[in-house]
Amino acid sequence: MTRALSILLVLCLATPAVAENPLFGKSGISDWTKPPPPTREPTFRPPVAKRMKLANGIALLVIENHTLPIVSMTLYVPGAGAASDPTGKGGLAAYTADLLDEGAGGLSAIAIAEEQDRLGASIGVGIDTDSAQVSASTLSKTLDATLALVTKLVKQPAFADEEAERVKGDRRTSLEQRRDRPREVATIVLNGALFGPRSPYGHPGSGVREELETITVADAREFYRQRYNPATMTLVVAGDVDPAALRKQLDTGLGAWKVTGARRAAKPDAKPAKPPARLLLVDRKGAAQSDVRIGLVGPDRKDPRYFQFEVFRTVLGDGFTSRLMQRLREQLGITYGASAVMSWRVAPGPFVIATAIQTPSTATGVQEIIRMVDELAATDVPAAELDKAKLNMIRALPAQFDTNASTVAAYVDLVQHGLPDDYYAPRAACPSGCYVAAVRRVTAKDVKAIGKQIVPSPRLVISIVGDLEKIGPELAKLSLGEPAMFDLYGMPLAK
Amino acid sequence: MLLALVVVAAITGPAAAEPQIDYTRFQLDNGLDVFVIEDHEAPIVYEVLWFRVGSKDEVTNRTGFAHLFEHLMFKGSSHLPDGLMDRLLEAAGGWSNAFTSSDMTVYQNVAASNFLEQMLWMESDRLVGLLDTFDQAKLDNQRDVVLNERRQSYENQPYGLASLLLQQNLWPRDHGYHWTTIGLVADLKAAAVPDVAAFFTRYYVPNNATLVIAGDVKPDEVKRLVTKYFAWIPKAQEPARPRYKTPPPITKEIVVDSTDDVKVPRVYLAWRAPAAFTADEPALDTLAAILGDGKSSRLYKRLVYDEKIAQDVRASFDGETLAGTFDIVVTSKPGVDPKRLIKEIGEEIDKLAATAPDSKEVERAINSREASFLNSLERTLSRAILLARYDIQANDPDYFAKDLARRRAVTGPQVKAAAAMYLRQSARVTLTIRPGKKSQEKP
Repeated sequence: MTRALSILLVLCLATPAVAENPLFGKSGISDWTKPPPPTREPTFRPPVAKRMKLANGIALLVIENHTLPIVSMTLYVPGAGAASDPTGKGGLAAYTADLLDEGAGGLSAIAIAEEQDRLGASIGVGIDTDSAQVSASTLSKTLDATLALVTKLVKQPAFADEEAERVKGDRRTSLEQRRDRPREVATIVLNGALFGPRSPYGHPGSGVREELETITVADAREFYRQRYNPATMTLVVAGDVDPAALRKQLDTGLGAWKVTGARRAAKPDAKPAKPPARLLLVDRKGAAQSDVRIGLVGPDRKDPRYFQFEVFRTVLGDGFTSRLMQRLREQLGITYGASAVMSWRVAPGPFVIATAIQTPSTATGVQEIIRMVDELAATDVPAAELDKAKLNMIRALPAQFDTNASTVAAYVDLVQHGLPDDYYAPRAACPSGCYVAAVRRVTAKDVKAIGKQIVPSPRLVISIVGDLEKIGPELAKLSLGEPAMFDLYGMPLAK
Repeated sequence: MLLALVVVAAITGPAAAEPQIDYTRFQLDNGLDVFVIEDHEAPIVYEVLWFRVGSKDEVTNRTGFAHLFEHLMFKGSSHLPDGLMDRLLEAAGGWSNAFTSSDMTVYQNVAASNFLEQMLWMESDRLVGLLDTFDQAKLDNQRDVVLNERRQSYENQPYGLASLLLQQNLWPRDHGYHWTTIGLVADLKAAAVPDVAAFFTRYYVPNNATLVIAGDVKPDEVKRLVTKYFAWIPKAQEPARPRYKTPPPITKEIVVDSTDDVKVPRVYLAWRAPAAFTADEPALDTLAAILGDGKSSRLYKRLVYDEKIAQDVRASFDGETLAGTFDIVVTSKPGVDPKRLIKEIGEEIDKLAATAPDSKEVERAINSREASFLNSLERTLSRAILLARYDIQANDPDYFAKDLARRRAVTGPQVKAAAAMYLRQSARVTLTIRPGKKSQEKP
């Protein structure tokens, strides 16, 4: 714990020693020095999902919310994400997903776009590492037509040669432009080092230039055939919708979709690799800031230390009051922002501290980050700081259900990790919800243990895209060993 | 749930009740306008505090100051040591943030609804006592942060200086939109403690602000607490602010060429346009949708889909209080001459200026815009900000229904007329950024 930060926390409720501004005397409020206490804690019950199953095995979750005449949905397709890219064909999952709305069920790519506009619908297809997701938001009035369109996209994608070539051209240009996106490159370099550059979690989901030309529309068709298996999908719908009517409509649409020969999603073979070095560098001449990604392979979502880890992460780098923000931004002024993000995945995913530091202070910033991580493993988090982090996790829960789309996302997240639909709801064993109870149980000792067991700083790998002529000499003094060098696209450079 | 937001018949189906955002309002004697939106969907309270000051109100050699000042509002006040506000709000499950534009500075606080009083206490403390604990160190720290924000969002972004170049060329030196909200580095470095005091005293006064409290609250209780924490703050003079004349129109195309450390060229076409809430705004917004919003737009179809000479296209209309801007941005494919893009964009504009789009195309544009408008209102915080915007910029807090109606009423001939009137080549700024050395900024 740095002295400055301890002082801040001790000061928390004290009055600064300044002459009282006479204006406050006019308020008629006798004591301005203490924050007014909150009134009675409100109760919050997360919206309840109704679970059904369609004839072909698609699980259906419906969350009714009739306050506005709009609906959001996501079709979750496990195993159709980047981790399923065949080795040497990085980006195939993304390419396949991209092609779903580029012609389907007799509609051209443009016709699909026009139909969405006409309906007031917006359909997006995307992937993460472990899944593909087809999401839509629409008006309840046009829900049936929107569902029919979504069904066409996932059930009858055309994979037409000409559209596929055009989309590939767009992907080619985007990969050429990667050098313009240093943050993306810093992340790619880090993931490659943590998991192995061609591995399921280590390669970029958007692909690399070197492999793009090996990917054909036939590959996409085959990926689709194997990975888009209705028997394993879940459709989550939230908003102004009648579950029974929806179910009926789906029975003749999405629910009537049968396939043969598709796979069950298996746990990806994602394991930590031996990084080529602790320090990974990309030279970007003239960069005003260094884009920094510092991370290691964290736990998976099933890890019993999940809650302890999330409290640790919140203290370190979630929110404005986190240690990373307070130290790097509010005290040193060397960045606009810094955060610590854990990608909770089917297999252990990356834990990453991300920031952009002004060029001359790059080494200082890296050193500070390492010191803050060490501090968490060495010293108990003070009670006030621990409480603040835990209360934030508990009291911010309602905001997760702020919109139909965020409600859908919250339920997709539960499905993805095999958690029960009533995960956040009150139960006999834990009246305020087992999530809340689990957060409450986390202690300062637990947080310290996470630092020691999961995030020991010597395991952190440091990826930096910046102006090496300016940042190199100071970085060399940090004793991080011989760096590994990468080009502006994140590919390793020969020594 | 008192939000009566009922969609009427634009897309299909019979007309329902007129849509509106339900609120109660009152004004304190010191001029503070207060709105309450009651929405008990979730136990959360949202506070929006909107000050009628933005970068257009900045003075010579102090560009960027309104935004820099916004940062200083988070550095503590009389009874709030630096950082305490964020700690209290985060412990209440919320957060605190703000944004600044040419016209406005808008603060947002969020917390569990039982922290309403605490939230108002904090807001009052910084509105009354910001200068009591303000010092050089706080200014220096946040200046460093803003310089880093500038690096992250502009200098270290591909094509990141485009917005600066566009504003500099679109508006004359003596107009408040000539400079960007982030400001020039030299001006940020010149900002001093007396500037902070002067700006605060002039603009951060109750009669220059609108407060919206939205969410799980009772209007009577809000009124009681807002009165308790704000009513005794004295009314101040109406802020004296720079006044701008409408500049003489651009009559000859302004061509700007620049370079950046990027892989492919990008072209920007920008025009001056009418202000927000003026008669032609809906037609201009529909025009933007038809030209360059999404895969169904004309520029996408021609440049990206058919000819494959562009990587992406975007067209947008942005109405502010003094005037608006219409922008078209197209990124080239490698090896394509940006001049060809500019020529073909011009041809598509000419087509629209000559022949009105048919009703189907207009209907698609209107429906798609309306749906995203409605979706954005799902968030209580967005409704709160929109209500303030209607009251302040349209002088009508009940403008929601009118806004929807006028957006729905746009016709093909109106779109054609807007293209012909506003998107003339002789009135535009044409900026091309080609791959090369990152160019240095010119003040």
